[in-house]
Amino acid sequence: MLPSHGELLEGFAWHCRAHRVDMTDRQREGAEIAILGARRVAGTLATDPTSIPAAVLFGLSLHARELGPTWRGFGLLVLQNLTARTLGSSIELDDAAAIELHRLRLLAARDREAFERASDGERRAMFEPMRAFVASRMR
Amino acid sequence: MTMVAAHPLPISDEAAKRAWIEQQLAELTAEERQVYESDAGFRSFVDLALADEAANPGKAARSIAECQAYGGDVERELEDLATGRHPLCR
Repeated sequence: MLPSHGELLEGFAWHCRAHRVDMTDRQREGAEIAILGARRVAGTLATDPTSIPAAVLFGLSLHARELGPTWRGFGLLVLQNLTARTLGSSIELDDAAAIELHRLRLLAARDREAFERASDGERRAMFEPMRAFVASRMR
Repeated sequence: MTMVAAHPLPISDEAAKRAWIEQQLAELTAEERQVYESDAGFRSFVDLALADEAANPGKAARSIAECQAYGGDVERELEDLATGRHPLCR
């Protein structure tokens, strides 16, 4: 099951506050829309429960700009939390894997406009590297 | 089944981490506290984030500082990852 919009939004707001990242009302609204968009994308990409954490991470990565400087840490925590809570698994990331996952997330952020123009099949193809990578790191 | 860590931390360290986590939870705002108690997803997110920070002090702050330094310049980050200049590569 996808995480609720409230769960993601409250988590993001708390993460920002806990790390003293101030956001203007406008930035907060942007983040809220980004989380809404990320969740919607994840709902269309996740084909089974095991791919939901990666799909949510992919959706959040598409919206990295609106999420501001906490996007990297927040997304990783969401990935780990969803994997543990909904699948009873964990994500194992050594240094090399953390670099590769961040690279995949940056590619998603960079290619957001192309993703938005893409067909459903093309979107799945863009998501596939992250889905496969996360799956390979699940324990 | 009881899990035993291969290299358990001294009790004092574990106690200090637990105390720090408890302190952070005590500092939740009233609204956050309400959500923490009613929403299992938010609660597990906060618990995971605090445990991660307790195990890796300063990790989140470093991540934020690095993202701020790039200022959303995704191409530069990708180039630095490719050439080993990115902070994650150090």
